[in-house]
Amino acid sequence: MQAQTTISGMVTDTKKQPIPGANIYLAGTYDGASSNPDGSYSFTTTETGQQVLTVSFVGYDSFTDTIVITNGSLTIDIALKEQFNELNAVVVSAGAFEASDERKNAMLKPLDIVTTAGADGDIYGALETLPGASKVGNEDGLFVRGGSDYETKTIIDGMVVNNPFYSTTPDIPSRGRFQPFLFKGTVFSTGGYSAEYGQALSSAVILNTEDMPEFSASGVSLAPIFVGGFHTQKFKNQKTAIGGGINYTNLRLFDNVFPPATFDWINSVEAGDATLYFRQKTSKTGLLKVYGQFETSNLALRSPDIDSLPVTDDVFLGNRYQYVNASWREILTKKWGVQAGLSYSNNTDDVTIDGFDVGKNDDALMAKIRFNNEITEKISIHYGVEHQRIHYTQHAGDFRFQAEDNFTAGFAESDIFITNDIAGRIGVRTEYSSIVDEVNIAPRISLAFKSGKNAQINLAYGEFYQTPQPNYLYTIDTYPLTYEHATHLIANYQYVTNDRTFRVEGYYKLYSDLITLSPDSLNPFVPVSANLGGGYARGIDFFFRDRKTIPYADYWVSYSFLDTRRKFLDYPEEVTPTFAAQHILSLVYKHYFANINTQVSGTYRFISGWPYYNPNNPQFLGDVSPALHNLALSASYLTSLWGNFTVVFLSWDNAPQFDQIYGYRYSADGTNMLTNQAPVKSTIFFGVFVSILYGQDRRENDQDIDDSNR
Amino acid sequence: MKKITLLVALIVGLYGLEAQTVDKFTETMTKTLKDMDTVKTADGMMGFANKFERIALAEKTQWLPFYYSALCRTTASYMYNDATKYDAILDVAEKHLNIADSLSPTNSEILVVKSMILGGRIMVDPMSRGQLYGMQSMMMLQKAMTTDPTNPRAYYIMGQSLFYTPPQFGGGQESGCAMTQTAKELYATFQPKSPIHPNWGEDQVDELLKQCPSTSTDTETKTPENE
Repeated sequence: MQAQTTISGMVTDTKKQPIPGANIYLAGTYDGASSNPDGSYSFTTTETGQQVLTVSFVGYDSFTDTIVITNGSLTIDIALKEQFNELNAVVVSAGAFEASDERKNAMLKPLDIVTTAGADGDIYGALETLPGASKVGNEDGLFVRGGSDYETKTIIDGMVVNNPFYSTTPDIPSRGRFQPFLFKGTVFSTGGYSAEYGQALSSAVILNTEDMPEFSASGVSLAPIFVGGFHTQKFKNQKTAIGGGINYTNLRLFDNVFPPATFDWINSVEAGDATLYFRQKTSKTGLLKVYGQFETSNLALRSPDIDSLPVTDDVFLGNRYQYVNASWREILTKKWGVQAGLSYSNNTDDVTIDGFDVGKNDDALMAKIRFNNEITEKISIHYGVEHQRIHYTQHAGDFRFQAEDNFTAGFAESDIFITNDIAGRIGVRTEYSSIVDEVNIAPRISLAFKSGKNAQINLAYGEFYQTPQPNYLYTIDTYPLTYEHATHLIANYQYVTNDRTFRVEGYYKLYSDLITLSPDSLNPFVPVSANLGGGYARGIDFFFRDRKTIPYADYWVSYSFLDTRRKFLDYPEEVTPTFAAQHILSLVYKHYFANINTQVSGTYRFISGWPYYNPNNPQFLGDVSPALHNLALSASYLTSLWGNFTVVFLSWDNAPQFDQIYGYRYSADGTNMLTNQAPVKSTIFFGVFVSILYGQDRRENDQDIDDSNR
Repeated sequence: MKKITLLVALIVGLYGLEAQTVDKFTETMTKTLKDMDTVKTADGMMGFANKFERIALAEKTQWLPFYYSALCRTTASYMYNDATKYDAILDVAEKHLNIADSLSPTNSEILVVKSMILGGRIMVDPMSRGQLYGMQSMMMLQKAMTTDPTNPRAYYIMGQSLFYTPPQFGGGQESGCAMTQTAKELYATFQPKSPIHPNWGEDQVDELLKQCPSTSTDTETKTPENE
């Protein structure tokens, strides 16, 4: 009979709290035990001499120690150190709403976008239900925290997207060009974002496309105004996937049922697009992604001419858009990763107003490379360079204008975890734009403190520069311009559990060098641009989301308070701009009825009103449009059609028929007035989407490709 | 000649050593599996997972202790009834199962547990994970069935998934019960390769069949007795 030794003790964390369920054992033997609820453990062994005692528990660094076993008993207390784990660690998140499938606590997931009533499957429509963001009347673009539309940039797989919205005329609301299901995640930053991104004074919408698809798949969409289909083929070698889609939209039927109140259609919107999709694994850890979208659309309408009522103008708009994005990433070594991208876009708008030709073309090419290096477990650095060549062409009748910007930027940024509870991100970006022929340097700093198990406090500061928009470059040869500039200061508190998120964020944004326009005595038709503007935006955003209190329900509430004044463009003084509403409230409620497999959703929005120009009021932009209410309802019925997953979708925008008045427009002499409003007060839309997945064996573990783009 | 004798002696010696460890291994595994029958709580199940992990790390070439560690963890995660814990526990289960998989490739039993892990992951976030993981989980089971058409656990887990999946998504009580019934029949003839090879699930099948319409349960469960 061999002698037995009893080994016992306590397993705790570094704060002396007991850890139950830890595995304590002598390496290479069967001898060991699990710790009890009070952290104590005890086991016997017949081993003698030198042994390695090992203790392991999920979320903690494993403990090993060489011990010498002689006869008798041993008491060994062990303190485990909490593992450094990025998922548990504090996340630098001032200003950003992250939404992806990977993070459990994401604010808005891709699926949320298509099931949010009122968003109509538009990414920007869904972002509008988050605090700080808003579409403004029929204007294109997303307006963030008192910033104008051009201050928000959309970025796909690290590459800047020009013209992410469909081209429309001023009477028609616009929407984003890109389908939500292309993307696995969205980071919506309302300020203070990473030094990797620039040329946006207010906001970055950062979209990351899906990696290798799991299966071959097809999809068919059918609606009275829309027909579309796609197929993605994943090859047996599991390394290649190729696909594409075709969509056709014709709003004629819709326009007949819901005739617009503010204009008459000559030709309804008709659009066609084709998409191209390619994925190639270039090694075990390397992935090449290519996405292309090619579109053409036309519309024609007859709208009242405000300066000479009841005369009308015939407006024709044709748009052609091409977009290709190729990105590649590879893990070079355990500590080094690389990402490279190449994108091209070309957008042409041809507009004819009563026979008068107006048009523009943007042709943009971008290349970027980025390295990331994990220096230690707690310090990582990423840096890179990008180059863009954007060629602008514009014409109005005989007036022609061309400009080319050769833009180069470099950035370096370091993520530092001081402890598991304190993290910082320090970065700097520098840019050179040939148009302004100047170098800027933009530092960015974010800090995050974990103040409790689920709570954290974030602070951010950053400098942001943007090259003046092409519309304001007409006089640059005579009157040089510099970058428009904004400084952000942000503080937030958030409390996040698995099912609930509460967040409050205050911000102050200081604008300087904004473009102003003043009449030129020599040429009355082309005003002189200068960097004489400036202003501020400050406010508080609240967000609360709860997926727990009501079973099968998910709801969120967003409220934004905004105080902003600025002098820019032709504003004679610093005033609240036309796109700034003081109060915006959004309430989104979704309920899943399991017994009928239907998700019902409702979105209520309240906007306190936007300033508008009234020449009869001596106070510039002294009038504010009436408060706006909208209640959108939608239902998605999940079913199967010939064995394929199918969604039948029905939405009813502005069901209670609230007035949708965005302001008023006046003729130059102030005598005529038109209401600026939604062309159709309330609309109904329905459609069917069939998704066909072709099962294929998944031999290789795709998890080894991990998105390093964080 | 001398060399050969030495070599033979060495081989015999090694073999003897091997035989000895295998015996201790089998003995410990058998005892642990027997003790496991009485476990009632998730914490208790995790204790057994730890025990299998200790055996696995000492042996390193045996797939069974890694398999059982993964199985105990997966079962424990279901028992905790707390979705926030699932992912961390299932991560370890998956890690151990992947080692088992590399030690014993294309093993029907391992595929069944892979499918169960995916099932656990769905519960963390059914809305966004359901469709993809559900499909992957089903494919794992189909592959488990083709690899070993007599593995009753593949049919039981599939029957259980179908039972709790609404008909619109290709499930339903009827098809779930039919599949569980097939599992029941396979259990009647199933013989594990050894006392420590997987041989669980029959009791759970009986439990599940109790929820099935009585007609089918009665007639079908009688069948083996009548034979």
